[in-house]
Amino acid sequence: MPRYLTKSLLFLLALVVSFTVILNISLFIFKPALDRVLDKYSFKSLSFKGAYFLPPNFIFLRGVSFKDPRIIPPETFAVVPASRLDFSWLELIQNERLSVSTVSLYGPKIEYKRLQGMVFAEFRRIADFIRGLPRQDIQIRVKSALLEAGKGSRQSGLDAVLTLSGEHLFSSGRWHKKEDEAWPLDYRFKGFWVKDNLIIESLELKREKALHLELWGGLKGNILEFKGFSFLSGSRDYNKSKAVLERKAVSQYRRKFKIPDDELSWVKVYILDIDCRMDFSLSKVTIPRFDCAINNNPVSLKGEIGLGDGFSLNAAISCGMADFRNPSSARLKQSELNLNGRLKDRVFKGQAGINMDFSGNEDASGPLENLNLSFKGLRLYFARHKQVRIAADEVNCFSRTKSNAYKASLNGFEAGVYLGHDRYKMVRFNSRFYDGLLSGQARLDAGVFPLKAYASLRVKAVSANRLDGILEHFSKVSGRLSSRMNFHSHPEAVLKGDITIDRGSLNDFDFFNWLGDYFELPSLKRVGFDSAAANFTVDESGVGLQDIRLSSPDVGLKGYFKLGTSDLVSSRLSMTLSRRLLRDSKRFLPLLNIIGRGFPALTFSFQLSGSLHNMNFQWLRSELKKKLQDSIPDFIERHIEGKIEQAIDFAP
Amino acid sequence: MKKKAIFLLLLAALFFSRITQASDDGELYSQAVENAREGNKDFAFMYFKDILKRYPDSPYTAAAAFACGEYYYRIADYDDALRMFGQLEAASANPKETLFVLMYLFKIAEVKKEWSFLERLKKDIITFKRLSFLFRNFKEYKYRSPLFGQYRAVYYIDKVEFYIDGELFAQISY
Repeated sequence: MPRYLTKSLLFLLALVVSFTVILNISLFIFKPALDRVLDKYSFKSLSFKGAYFLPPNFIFLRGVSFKDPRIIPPETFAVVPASRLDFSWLELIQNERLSVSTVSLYGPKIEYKRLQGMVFAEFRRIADFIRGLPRQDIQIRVKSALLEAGKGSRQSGLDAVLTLSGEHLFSSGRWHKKEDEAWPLDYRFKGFWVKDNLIIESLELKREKALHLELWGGLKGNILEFKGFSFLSGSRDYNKSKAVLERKAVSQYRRKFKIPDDELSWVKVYILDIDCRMDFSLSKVTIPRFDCAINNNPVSLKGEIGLGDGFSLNAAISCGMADFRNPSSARLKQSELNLNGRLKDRVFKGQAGINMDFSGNEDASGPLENLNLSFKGLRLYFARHKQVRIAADEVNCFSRTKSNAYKASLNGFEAGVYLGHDRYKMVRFNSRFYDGLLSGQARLDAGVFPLKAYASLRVKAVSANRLDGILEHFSKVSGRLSSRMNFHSHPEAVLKGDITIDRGSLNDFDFFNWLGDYFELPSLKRVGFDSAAANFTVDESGVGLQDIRLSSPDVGLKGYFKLGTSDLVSSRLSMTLSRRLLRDSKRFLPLLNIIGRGFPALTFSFQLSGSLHNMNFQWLRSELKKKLQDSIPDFIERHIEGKIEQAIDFAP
Repeated sequence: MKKKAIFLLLLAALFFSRITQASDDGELYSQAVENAREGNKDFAFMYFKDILKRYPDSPYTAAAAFACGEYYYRIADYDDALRMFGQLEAASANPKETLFVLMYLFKIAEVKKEWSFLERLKKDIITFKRLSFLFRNFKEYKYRSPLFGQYRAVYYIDKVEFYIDGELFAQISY
């Protein structure tokens, strides 16, 4: 190599090194000034430890950190150990402006839940900031980012590219769990600016055989509007989804967006016709409209999220179930959830209401038309280990069937919900139940839709007459009631159990009143007992009491009583009346004389049918009846029959 | 085909020659009943129908409507039968007649697979009368229709059986 060339190269090298050193010293000296500029434009949320220049046109930033300005002092939620800015010398010399063409972020570590919260809370400012950026071409690359929900939680990785080119905006990337390479979530964004409005051409989120989401819309001022659709798989077994697949709406989406049939073979949930409008103001986010159809069932959400000291929430979600083909959900027509309260420090305090309307479907035999639950003084404590503790000052339950209304109240309700298992969720609860106690546990199977529920409940020592809202006949029962019951929702909703009432009485029961009046047995108006018990079943076909057992010194009762649809009764009962009791009746005395002294007590077996409030009655065959019939002539039988018809006004 | 047309023409001519002779609703009713007794149910139907058309407020209207409903049911014209018995259900003042109107409506609802209507009718029939069976096991209701159908309803404690001319027509268990 010629000597002069070597000298020239050495000189050039010295020049570059000197220039680099001078520039790096300048960057070091002017760092406080740079910090001030950054503070101004980033609302004190962005800082860096050091900046270095490397020829020909790179600036390396060390220890860039992003802070949440909403917290005082601001807490770091993202750190970028190393960043590289590629800039243009030509732009710098010609226009005296530092024009960065590429930003590369290496190995950033981000607490994404805090980032989500900040983006949500500061959406308007961020949108204004993005709008205010100079429209220059730039590319931002994120390489091997580590994302975590919170400090110490499971990590996932992200690689992404964001390109601003003229008025156009592109971004794409891949999000994957660190320990599960088969999990990646790919996203792709395309948009462009029209003046200050961002038009979202498409936002796609895809995870192989798990998620396919496409949205489009725009950001105009404070208002974000978007439409779209989504297909989900999940581990859930949504029955009849194939039937939904064949629906016209899905076919249209498939054709419109050129999605091959076999690409949807994994799909179980179709969320179509997404239509959302969100209004971001400084203190709150209003959602006047979020509509979609989940498996062809309309879902609607309206609400308001207040930002400030925690999140305040006032939302109403309604879900129409008109088109679920699953028999167990066919009757659920509409469900609504209203939530009103404030979430702060992982505690939600407020009120909630759940309302479910059931179909008056002709082929649905079940009598339930409406179920309404309201929670007053509701507190939800969200623990870290997938546990939620629920407490409510008062829970009111109201239900209506075709012919009756039922209500019950709980006070001081407490429940623990364990959500750790992917599929099965456990709930344990206890509450004051009028002057007694209610406790129990439930298991929810979230692996199917609608949810399957299994529950066991125990009621202890409630005054029976306080339960007249559940069954009006309880108003005529005194005594302490205890019960054990089991509930399962699948294949059909069934509640079964036993019920015991201790040291009580039946007061003014219509049947006993009628018997007491007609046969002049006033003591039947109040039948005291040590213990009365029965098993019961509540299912789609009605309410039934089986194995009724009532024993008192003078009256015994055994049998079953079923109240079916349309309040129709089906019952067989055996009533035993002691000879001592019957001796008080002038009308029974002749009967006692006829049948002789061989019967210490008289047992009447009878069958009831017809309307609950207008029951038919038949005295069934028995030894007593036979003996009586043998003793009296037919015309007397007809006479008695006629008199009874007149007495209770049965005759047509 | 030609013979059938001539027969129908003669039938119509015969009917209209008779009907022109009937001057008021009472006379029409008598003619209808007379034809029904003689087994001429088609003629009887035409007279009953004429009463409904010409004398909607006649005291014979309910009977005529039952007869027309009965006739429509027999020829499987369930829509017209439903219309007749539906009007009669609301208007009938005769409890026995009402019971058999409900019976017909129940059968029509069954044929037309109108399940909620069927359930309502089932309840109406079951709760039609409150019954007590102290020594007997059933109770009967009888009715003779204007078309001379012999109707019988037998109520047991847990079922109702309906008979027309001695043959089981419908049964409801509960």
